[in-house]
Amino acid sequence: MKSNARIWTGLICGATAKLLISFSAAAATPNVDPNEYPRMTDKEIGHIRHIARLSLNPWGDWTGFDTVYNPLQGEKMFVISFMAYTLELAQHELTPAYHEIYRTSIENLLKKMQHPDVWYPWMFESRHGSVEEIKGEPVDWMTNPGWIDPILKDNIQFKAYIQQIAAAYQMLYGDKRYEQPGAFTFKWTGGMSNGQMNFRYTLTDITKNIYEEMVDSDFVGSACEPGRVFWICNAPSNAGFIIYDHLYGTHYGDAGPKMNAKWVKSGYRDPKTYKTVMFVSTSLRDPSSNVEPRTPLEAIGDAEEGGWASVYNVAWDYDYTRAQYLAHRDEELEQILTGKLFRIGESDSSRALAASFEMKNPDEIAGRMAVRSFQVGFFSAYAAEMGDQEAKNNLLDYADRNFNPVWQNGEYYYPRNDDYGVDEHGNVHGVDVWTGSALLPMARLNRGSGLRRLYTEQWGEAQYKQPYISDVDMLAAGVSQAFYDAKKDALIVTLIPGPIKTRSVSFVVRQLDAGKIYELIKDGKATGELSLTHQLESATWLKDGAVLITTSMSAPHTFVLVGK
Amino acid sequence: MVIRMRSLLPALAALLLGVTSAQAQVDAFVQNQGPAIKIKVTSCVVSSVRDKAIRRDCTKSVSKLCDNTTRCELPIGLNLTDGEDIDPVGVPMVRRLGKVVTVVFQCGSTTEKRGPNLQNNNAALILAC
Repeated sequence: MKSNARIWTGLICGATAKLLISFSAAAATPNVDPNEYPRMTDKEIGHIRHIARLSLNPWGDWTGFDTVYNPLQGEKMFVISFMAYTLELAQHELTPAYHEIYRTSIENLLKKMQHPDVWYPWMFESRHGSVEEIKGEPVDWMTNPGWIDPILKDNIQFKAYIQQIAAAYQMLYGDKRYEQPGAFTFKWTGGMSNGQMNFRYTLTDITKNIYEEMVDSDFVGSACEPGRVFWICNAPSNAGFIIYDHLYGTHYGDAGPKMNAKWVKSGYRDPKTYKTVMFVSTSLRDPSSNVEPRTPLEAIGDAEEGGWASVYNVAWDYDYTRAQYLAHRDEELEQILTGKLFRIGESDSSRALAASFEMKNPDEIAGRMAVRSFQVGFFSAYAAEMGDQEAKNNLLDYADRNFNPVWQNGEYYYPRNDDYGVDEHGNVHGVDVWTGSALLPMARLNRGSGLRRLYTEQWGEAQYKQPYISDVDMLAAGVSQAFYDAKKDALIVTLIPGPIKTRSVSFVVRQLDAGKIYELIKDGKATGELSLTHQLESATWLKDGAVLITTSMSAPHTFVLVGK
Repeated sequence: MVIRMRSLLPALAALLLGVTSAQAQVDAFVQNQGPAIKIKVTSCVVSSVRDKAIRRDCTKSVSKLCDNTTRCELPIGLNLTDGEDIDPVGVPMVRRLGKVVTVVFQCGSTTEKRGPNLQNNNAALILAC
């Protein structure tokens, strides 16, 4: 009995002590532990800085975007789009209470999509890519000189990206700029007897245009090139429709499932083997008829280029996408990590995209290898989305060892290298710009299911009204954390030193409640109460209702602002 | 200081005279160009690609918009056919390529032709002299 009493006394004393400790801790940091919120690493911030800096390139300066891969239509539109997609992922998942670098960069990238260098290739190459192969149908009306508009019909590999990026932008910021007349303006400067023309579209114009093509084709899909429908090209808008539905209450999100049902029923996708045909051809006049598969069923590394479509398909079919990943993971991983993917003749996984390359031409070999490089990037992004941390880490470690990553002015990226030779250890050092500046960053920034959440956990009015930070000098500091916890009315911010050393940096907190008192905690220590009538040494309530916080920046600092 | 100003004054005067003279030359050059040449639309036709017999004259409405201007941004959608699809055959996405617009106009004695361009609610043609 005595021993029992001692045990009970001990337990009670211990519990009381713990309670007291936790109470005092709670008093210092009112129940907000910054470690419970997303935190970006220096490499991740470096990726964002790199994309943000490239987005600021002057109009028509493609430094950092160019690639050796140039079949059909060039790659800029894909690099640009996946940079924007990466920013949207990071914005939604990691620093939701810090917008400016993401928001302005996405705007800049969408502007680049309207540059003639990006959409003119439609005119000269991809528009008539395959029409001669459509038997018994005159092609004159398909190739007439008046068909310049890059949105009007087909060209889904271009317009789907604009649709997805712009819809997600509006969802993230509640900003309807892409619904203004002429939000997307494509200027044709003349030639081919047409004279100068302007083509003006809004997000809604583009969305309706694509969905109409889905319906008209009886959900075979919108064509990339006339008469050719690729699964991967339709993937971005099939995801973007879901966000658009959230914004407008429409029901376009059925496009992905209906297209899938059509492809499965017709044998173009096999849910038992997880294989897909690369593309189907259709009648030019009636896109729902004369549908024929143009390649055999191919594994994910071929038909979906290692995850290209999958990073969008998660929006509406996560379970299948995950099963597909598991079915192909080991084969893909082994091919990448052993360099087999890059051995000419040993693997022909990119034949559908690069069939016409002349393999005796070194430049074309590099072009073909670039296709395989972005398969590496896609598979890395795919593994990350699936939450396969082991595979993701293996792939990123491989990239860090072999792709000569660069730290430059606070940017972290893998610079383009066209030498795709396999070394004696089976490693490849070549890397395409799409992979090095967009896809590997996307993989690193995704903690798992981040893309799925971008589509299924949409932001709305509640988020638009929440406190957020702004006015951060991205060269003086990197924003590692910026998260507003609505349940705790707490804003968590962590800044880390940037490439330019400064004695102090500041940031502005916006949309705080001017009628409230906030407790400001810095690096775990309470610094005092902040309100409209009570300023702190390091925090000033400005006339416009925002709060200016200043700090030294020789080391990372974490701030928590908690409403009382 | 006074001495410096005295030596600067002639230089300033010379500079002003030079600028005035240059401006006069520019004005003379512009005046010699005569009045700006204006657009005079002589023909506008929307026709079906499938059946060229199906056509609609749009000269009147285009003239109203563009005549006597030096530059005119002309929407070439259904506005040219009173909101009507003149050949509604096929599914909508195919009908997008079904009609073309051809505009002919005069810039003084020079005849200009634009088109055929697809009739397209999102397109505008730039006419300029």
